[in-house]
Amino acid sequence: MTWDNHFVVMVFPYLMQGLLVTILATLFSFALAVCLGLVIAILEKVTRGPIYFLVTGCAHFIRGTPLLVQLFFLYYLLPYLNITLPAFACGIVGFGVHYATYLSNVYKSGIDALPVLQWEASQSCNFSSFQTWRYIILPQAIRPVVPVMGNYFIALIKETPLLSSISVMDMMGEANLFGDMHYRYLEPITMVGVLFLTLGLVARGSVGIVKKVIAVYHGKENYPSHQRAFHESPELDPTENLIS
Amino acid sequence: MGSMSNRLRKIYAVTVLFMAFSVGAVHAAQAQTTAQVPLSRLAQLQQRGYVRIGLSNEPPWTVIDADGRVGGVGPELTHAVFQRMGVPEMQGVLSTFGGLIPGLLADRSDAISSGLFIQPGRCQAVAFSEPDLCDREALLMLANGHSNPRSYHDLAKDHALQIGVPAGGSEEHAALAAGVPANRLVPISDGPSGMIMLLSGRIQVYSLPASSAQHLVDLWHEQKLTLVKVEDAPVMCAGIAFSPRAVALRDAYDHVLAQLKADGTYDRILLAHGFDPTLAREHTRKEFCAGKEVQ
Amino acid sequence: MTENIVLDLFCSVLHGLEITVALTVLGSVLAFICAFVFGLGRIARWRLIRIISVFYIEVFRGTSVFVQVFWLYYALPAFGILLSPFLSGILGLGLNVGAYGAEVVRSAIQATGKDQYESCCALNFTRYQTFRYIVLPQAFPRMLPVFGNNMVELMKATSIVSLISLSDITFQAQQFRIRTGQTFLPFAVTLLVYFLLYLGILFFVQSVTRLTKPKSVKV
Repeated sequence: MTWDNHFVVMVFPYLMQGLLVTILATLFSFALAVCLGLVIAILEKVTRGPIYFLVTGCAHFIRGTPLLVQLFFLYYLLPYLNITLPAFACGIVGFGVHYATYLSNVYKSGIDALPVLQWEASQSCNFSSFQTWRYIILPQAIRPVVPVMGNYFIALIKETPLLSSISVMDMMGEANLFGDMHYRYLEPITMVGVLFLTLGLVARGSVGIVKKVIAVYHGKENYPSHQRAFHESPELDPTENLIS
Repeated sequence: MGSMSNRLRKIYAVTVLFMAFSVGAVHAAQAQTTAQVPLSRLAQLQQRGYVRIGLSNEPPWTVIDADGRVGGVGPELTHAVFQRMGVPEMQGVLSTFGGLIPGLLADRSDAISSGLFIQPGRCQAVAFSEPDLCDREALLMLANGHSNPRSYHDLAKDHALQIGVPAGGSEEHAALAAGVPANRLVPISDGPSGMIMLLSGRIQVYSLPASSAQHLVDLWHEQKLTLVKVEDAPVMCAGIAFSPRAVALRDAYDHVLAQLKADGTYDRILLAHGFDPTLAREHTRKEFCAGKEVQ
Repeated sequence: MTENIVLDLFCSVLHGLEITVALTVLGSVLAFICAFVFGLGRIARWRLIRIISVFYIEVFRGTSVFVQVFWLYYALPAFGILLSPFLSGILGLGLNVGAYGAEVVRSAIQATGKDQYESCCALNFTRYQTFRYIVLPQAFPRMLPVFGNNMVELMKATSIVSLISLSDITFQAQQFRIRTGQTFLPFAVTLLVYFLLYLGILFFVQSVTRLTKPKSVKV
């Protein structure tokens, strides 16, 4: 089997169809993850006792087990509970919830980085709990962790081929189908790799722009020193899995 | 500004290197294929003492137990043939059904014995033995279903139906040929997954070989299911698939298979698993391949 | 009959666990080595080494681990290189996670303050001495928690090798489903086993963190 450009041309339109599915799945899942992650983070911060253990326990369980098996679970076992989601929706829910547990950690690290003073000040201003979160804590906590969230966005894109295992026709699904029909796998899989490389570069570029915009509008120097670390080296993702 | 141009330079370097790498790899690959001399594969296998058989878990064609031991009618027959060819041991290389042919072409296995039907498209990709196991295509659906398709053409006409087909299976090709659009076909990795999709309404019809369908009906005996043999599909026969570079090995296999068919070993193995040994005798590889064989 | 099914499942999971653990451990070792080799290569003085490291990091971070494992298994043989499924799995997982690790190593080292380098310069340390005695002891504890996360990611990614016919836990669970038609039991047990592995890794990383901490305080 040698490289044949003929097959590259043949498979390309299919991969473009798959690319659209991949992009849509990424955007929807990430949107879900961003919202749900915040909910989980706040829940973990405000609850105590058994509810706290339930929430953190579930988050750890979801974070600690493979997404592939979770997708199988959603796709093949939810119907037994009379919940039959379309494959694409199963994928969105699976990815969204999985990444929400990552992002909740990111939010939490942003919240933890705020000095206790901020809480005390809100209290002395007689802010309600809602007001404290809405106007004091979250605006300050989220902004510096945006670059870390960007990293998870890029990671999410690269996990989307898992969708093909629950018969969503993303790029990998299209490549596999093409391979099954024409018994050629070298070109489709290599092309999928190249497309992911491109997609990753584009995503990294966009995250970089978002990062710059935030830095311009809010000024990096406004961050206290312990928060600047998020901005300067997001690879050293300060969120830890460790049970503390 | 400086960091920006640095990044651009980085991306540029990566792209150039990647392209250089691909080009180099392609050249290496071409050099590799031209340098290969077809040695006697049978002699290699005899020397090694075992043959690697590609298979997927498709009861009743193949059965794999918890310890990874391989059984079922296909592998047993293949084992018997290879034993007589002087290769005593058989090693199973498990994969998904769709992964069988890519695995063979990637030299992951020496032959496939997993109920792979002989078809013109496949004949161009792999070298088939003479037919050994024959079956009809079947459609599996819920007994209370509203429509009652009997053939692939019925499936093409009813636009509401989502049709499950084994990923990489012959049903996919047959349904497409009958005019079913690709977006109504759902590739399915294994039988139980297909059953769950059928029961949960993700698909309305599950198309698969009759013996596999019967096996699923037995497993889900508490469900009310309808099993229909496809009318417009002829009897399909499976053969052992060899790499297109191993035609000589395939011929040797055919020779021994004919011996087993003559001396009754073949009948004994098939009857033990409830397969009809007379069907395969009525058909040849030539008619299934329709003149599109690899040479 | 039910007893038989439970025994069957137990055997399957045990066989799969062997492969999953072996892949996780060996993959992590490879990833650890790659992380240091290419992470340091990324900030090396020689241009060629830098370019090679960037190339490695970009390619393996840029494409999905799923695609990489498939490519190693199905496409690489077309270039005349036939790796066993197990080796494809280790290479795919190790090289992928190693690329992420390399960035961690790089940023942990670069996060070391300029003053540290200046004091080394003042003390007339060689480059090796600076790195070995000043930079690394400070950077390593910074890397550890992220390495822990990466190891968890690698462990979870081992489930992907089930799609290239390596009989890990997920694969065994699938085979069990095909044999018995049961779906809930194998998946539930599989998730549980993965979760136990996850807790094991957390425990391991925490112990290593505790071991390295006192030393870094002294510096």
